[in-house]
Amino acid sequence: MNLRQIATCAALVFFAPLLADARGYGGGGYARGGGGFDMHSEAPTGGTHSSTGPAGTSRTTTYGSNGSSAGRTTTTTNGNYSKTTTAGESNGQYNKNSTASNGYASKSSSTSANANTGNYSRSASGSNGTGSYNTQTSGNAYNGTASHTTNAGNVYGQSYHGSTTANNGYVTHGAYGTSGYYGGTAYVANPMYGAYPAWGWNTGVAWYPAATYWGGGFWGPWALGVATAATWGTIVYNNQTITSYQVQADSPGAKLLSSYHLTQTPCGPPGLVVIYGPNNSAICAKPNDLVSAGDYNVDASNLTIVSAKPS
Amino acid sequence: LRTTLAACFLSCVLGAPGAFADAAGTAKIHQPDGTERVYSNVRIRVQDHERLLITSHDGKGTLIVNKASCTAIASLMRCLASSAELDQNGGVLPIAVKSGTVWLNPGDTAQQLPYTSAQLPPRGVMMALETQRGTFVGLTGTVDEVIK
Repeated sequence: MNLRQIATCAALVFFAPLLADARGYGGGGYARGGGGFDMHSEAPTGGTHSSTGPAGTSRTTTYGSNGSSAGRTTTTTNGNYSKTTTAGESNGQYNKNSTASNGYASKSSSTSANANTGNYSRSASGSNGTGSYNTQTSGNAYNGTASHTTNAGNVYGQSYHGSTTANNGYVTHGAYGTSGYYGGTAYVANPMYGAYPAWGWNTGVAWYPAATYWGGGFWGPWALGVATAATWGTIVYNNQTITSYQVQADSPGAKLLSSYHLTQTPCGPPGLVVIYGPNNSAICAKPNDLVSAGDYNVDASNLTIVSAKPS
Repeated sequence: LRTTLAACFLSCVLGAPGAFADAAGTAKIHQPDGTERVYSNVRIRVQDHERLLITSHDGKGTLIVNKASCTAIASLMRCLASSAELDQNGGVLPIAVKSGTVWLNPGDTAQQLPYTSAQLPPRGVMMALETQRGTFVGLTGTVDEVIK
């Protein structure tokens, strides 16, 4: 047999049964995440499925809408209600967006995650004729960091702000509403930083008390027992005398006072705003149109003061 | 020549079925969206003297070249692939092949590839395949096993 001759032969083989069902490839089975070979570009794209439910809800799903196997857009309608969801996955990146409305209220959300980096984020918002809300969540599933904030308000002037952060097992949370009494506790929303997420007043960097400083350094870098710091009176709290020191400019405490338009004054006289800070510290200020006289604690995450007892 | 050449080439040149330990093939898959991955230690098998099976190291996916026209060129076999499929995740995905060439060295000595400085080792395989959708699959290695 002369192998040099052209030996155009028939097929090496022959079709194996084409078992594939296009519906089976919508979930990104040929993407990287599930092992095997990543050949997601070869998965079927394009297709539409429609259905109508017994309550008159109609739903149409178009898959392959973003050119990948997992891309799909679903629209659901029933009367004035309409919802559209778009989702897709490519190369480890997952994205989903959703909007819905019923003629009176609407909401939207967006989610993204990356299986390679671990980063994820989600935002959502909604509104109707009397109020609105928005939430933001982000973090990294691999290093354990997370941040979540929620803001809400209504046409009556009420609002709520909450934030939670997590980092390497440490979780901090702060929440407050519109200035006023809630469950017997007075919340005084920070007029400058109230709408910021946690630690937004500190450019997003979490602040923690330093044990070797008076007030944890919140009011300034005064070393415990330092003789050079100017004393600003004393107050007695729980049968314990607390010496107050002058708040240093550019400290977190100074930023707190400034945002509430408060001016520090020596503790001692009655009828003052007394703010208890970290590590058994306290400073005093004269009340103003934002903050009435009374005792307050500090929520450092949002630089907010919360009444220590009803004032 | 004989149309049976292609069908018998593997049985003729690779001998009886047997196992080839230490799969060391390397596959590179480049997709039109820019995604590119290199898969090491892929297992290369020939089934029924007809199909070329390329299995990922984790065993979860097998790319199958199941139709090709083969020509003997010197001591090498050149096959032009025209059909393939991916057996993965419990399903079989047909892959439309735009063009593809598989070179095999069925002999026991390394062979020079025509018009190149490259050589194919004994039982060596080299494949370049482009799909209709623009995915490129490259493969180098040796046949690990011939199976029924």
